[in-house]
Amino acid sequence: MTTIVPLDSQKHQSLSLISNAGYAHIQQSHLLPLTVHEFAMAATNFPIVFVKDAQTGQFKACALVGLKPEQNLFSKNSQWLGSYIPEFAKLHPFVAVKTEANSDKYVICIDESSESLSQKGEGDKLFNDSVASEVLTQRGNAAVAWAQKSDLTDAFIRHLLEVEIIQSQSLSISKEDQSYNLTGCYVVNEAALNNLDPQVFMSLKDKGYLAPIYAALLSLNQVGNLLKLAD
Amino acid sequence: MSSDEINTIVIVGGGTAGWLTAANLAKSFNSKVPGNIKVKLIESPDIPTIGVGEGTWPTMRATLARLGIKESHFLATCNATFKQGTKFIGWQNDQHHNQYYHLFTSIFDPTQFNLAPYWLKGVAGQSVPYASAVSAQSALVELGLAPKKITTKEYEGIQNYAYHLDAGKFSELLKEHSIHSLGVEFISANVTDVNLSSDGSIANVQTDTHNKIEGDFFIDCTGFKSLLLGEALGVGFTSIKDTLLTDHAVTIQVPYEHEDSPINACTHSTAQDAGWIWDIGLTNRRGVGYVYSSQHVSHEDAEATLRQYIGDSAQRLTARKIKIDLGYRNKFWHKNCVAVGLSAAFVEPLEASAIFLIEAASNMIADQLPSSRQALQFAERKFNESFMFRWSKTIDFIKMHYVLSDRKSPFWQDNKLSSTIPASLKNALASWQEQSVSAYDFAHVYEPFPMESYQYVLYGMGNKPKNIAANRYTDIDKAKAQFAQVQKITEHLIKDLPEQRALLNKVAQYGFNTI
Ligand SMILES: Cc1cc2nc3c(=O)[nH]c(=O)nc-3n(C[C@H](O)[C@H](O)[C@H](O)COP(=O)(O)OP(=O)(O)OC[C@H]3O[C@@H](n4cnc5c(N)ncnc54)[C@H](O)[C@@H]3O)c2cc1C
Repeated sequence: MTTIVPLDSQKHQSLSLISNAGYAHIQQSHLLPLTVHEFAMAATNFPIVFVKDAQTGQFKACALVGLKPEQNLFSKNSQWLGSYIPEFAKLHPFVAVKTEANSDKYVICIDESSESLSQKGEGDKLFNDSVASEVLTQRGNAAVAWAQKSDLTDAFIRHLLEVEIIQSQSLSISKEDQSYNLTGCYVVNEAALNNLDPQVFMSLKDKGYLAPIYAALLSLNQVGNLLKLAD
Repeated sequence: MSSDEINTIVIVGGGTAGWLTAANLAKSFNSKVPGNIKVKLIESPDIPTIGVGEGTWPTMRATLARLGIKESHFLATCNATFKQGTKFIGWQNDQHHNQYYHLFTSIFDPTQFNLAPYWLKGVAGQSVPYASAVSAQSALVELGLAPKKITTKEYEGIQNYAYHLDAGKFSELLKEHSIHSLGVEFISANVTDVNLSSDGSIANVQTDTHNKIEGDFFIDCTGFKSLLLGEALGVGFTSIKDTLLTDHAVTIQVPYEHEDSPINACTHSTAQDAGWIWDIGLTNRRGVGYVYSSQHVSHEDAEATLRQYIGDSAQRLTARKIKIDLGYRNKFWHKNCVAVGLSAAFVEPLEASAIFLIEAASNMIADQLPSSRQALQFAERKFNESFMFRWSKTIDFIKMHYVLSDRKSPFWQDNKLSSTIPASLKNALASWQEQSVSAYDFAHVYEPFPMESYQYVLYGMGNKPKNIAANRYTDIDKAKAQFAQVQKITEHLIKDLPEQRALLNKVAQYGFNTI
């Protein structure tokens, strides 16, 4: 269970952060959120898919890191087996949450249940006499920066939906005697992209969306990489 | 006027029937492109629409999707909610706590493998109601759950569903969409006269503020008045007041106690001494109404009964009385005029069939309207046959609810008099005493109520065949497995589906995706 609460200099005064706590928090996630800025790098490691958030129904861009729910093929014995680690994986246990739906102000929250937090003073303190420590400031800023990029990613996805180049695709993957069937994944559809009205296509170029679109398209070849890791 | 071609369609009347028909035809003919068939709609700025009619059928989803209206937009603008069927309370007899469900989804298609005979034999268990044996929906509805999730794409359901909606807002939405997106020409005026040509067809309609409006084909959507088909063309009306005995409705709109009060996931229909009360939950209010026979209860007592049903909160609310003439025109289509909506026919709203039949009529007109006036006679014959069939089936089906009841008050007893029951219904019921309902009872493609609807009502009302021979329906294992599967799916859905209001709040915030 995660328990995300706003960070509080009084309540959390004695907490400290163990910086190399590994990837326990995403050990059981087969999907990891990505921002559009990461697509080019992510595409060299994992398939990039779009999935609906269970709470809001809104699409999120994700790296597919497992072949079935609760499987993360990249995280093994505190090691990361790929050349690229999604930024999201490095934010933990911090999250930046908007103060209001349309505001650009954020509050920094933490996952109180995280194993990377310590009450016993291991690692770096979050507060020095109720003033944010350097580590906290740095990690907090990273969480806000990620949240802002995530907003831009949402706008990017909305645009792709509008021009109808994202489509549902159940990923059926089989190799010898193993077969996997992943439902609920949506991907950029190459035919739809190629059939776009030239003007619409140019609008994608003008917005700087073409590179991430092609990255997402090419990334689908990384299914082979997942199969290799599953062996 | 020398041309024989049909280029301009004039619809008179802007209620649900007028705007739904206008939208459907303009969409079909792609009327927004100049040169294509033109659709004009004349609506009186003075005569109000009937403004009730808040329950639809699942077909409405396909209709709205085809018209290009986003489901989230429709839900928000019409205060609409998801309807998963009707709960009939107190219909079987005068004792308390009898109820049954007429649902939209069965887990297995009964025309493929009919579970009903096995249910009748007790294979599903001795005290399991029919609806719970074959469908997950009664359990979902009892818990107030929605038929889908926020991640389900628009117009798709995990369970089949229709809508409850605000009729006035629905007409407004259709009007806006028809005019701005589908190319319907809107004329706000009163039709004061209908001018006929020498061959007895309609030449044009005279309006008070826009002179004469010419057209090749006219659609009468003027409500109970039936201004074109009934008054101008003189097509007679066949009353069915000797079959269905209700002739009035009194309605009240009831605000919710709290902003987050739960919303019923189906229509409630509660039997009363001289009729029945509907109870429909929208997002912002409930709409309730007592449909009654003024031969069996006074208007004052009917209103008092409705207020009592609502409870204390009814005190400050105003009631509206509506006279309803049940029956149908002897023809719906005559020469170059067709009537759609209340101008064509009306049966009491027990199974919310009116809007459904408006959709069906406009679909058939779109498909069958010929290119030339010469050919109108063929479309006329087909349309009249088809809709006479659909209306008479609808009348039989509604009447069946009453005939099967053991309630004792005079209204209910009168409803069981042999003279009030159509021969076609008598025959059907007699055969279902011997054999369970079968797909062979429903040979017609445009059967308005499917086999499943009859099963839900017949078995819900406790009307079972006298005897199912032990040597028939022998695939007990398959039936058992399917009944078990229904229970399994039900348990899963109970955990998986959100509460109706919670989902509607989310839809208002995020909307459904189109993929
Ligand atoms: C009590 C009750 C409950 C109902 N419940 C349901 C239900 O649950 N589900 C369902 O599907 N249906 C239900 N119905 C039926 C449903 O309300 C109607 O089928 C539907 O509203 C269609 O009405 P209409 O458009 O034909 O007529 P109306 O709403 O009466 O519209 C008539 C239109 O014609 C116009 N008009 C009239 N005369 C002129 C003129 N001279 N010139 C110009 N314009 C003119 C009026 O301005 C108006 O716009 C119910 C009906 C009643 C009475």
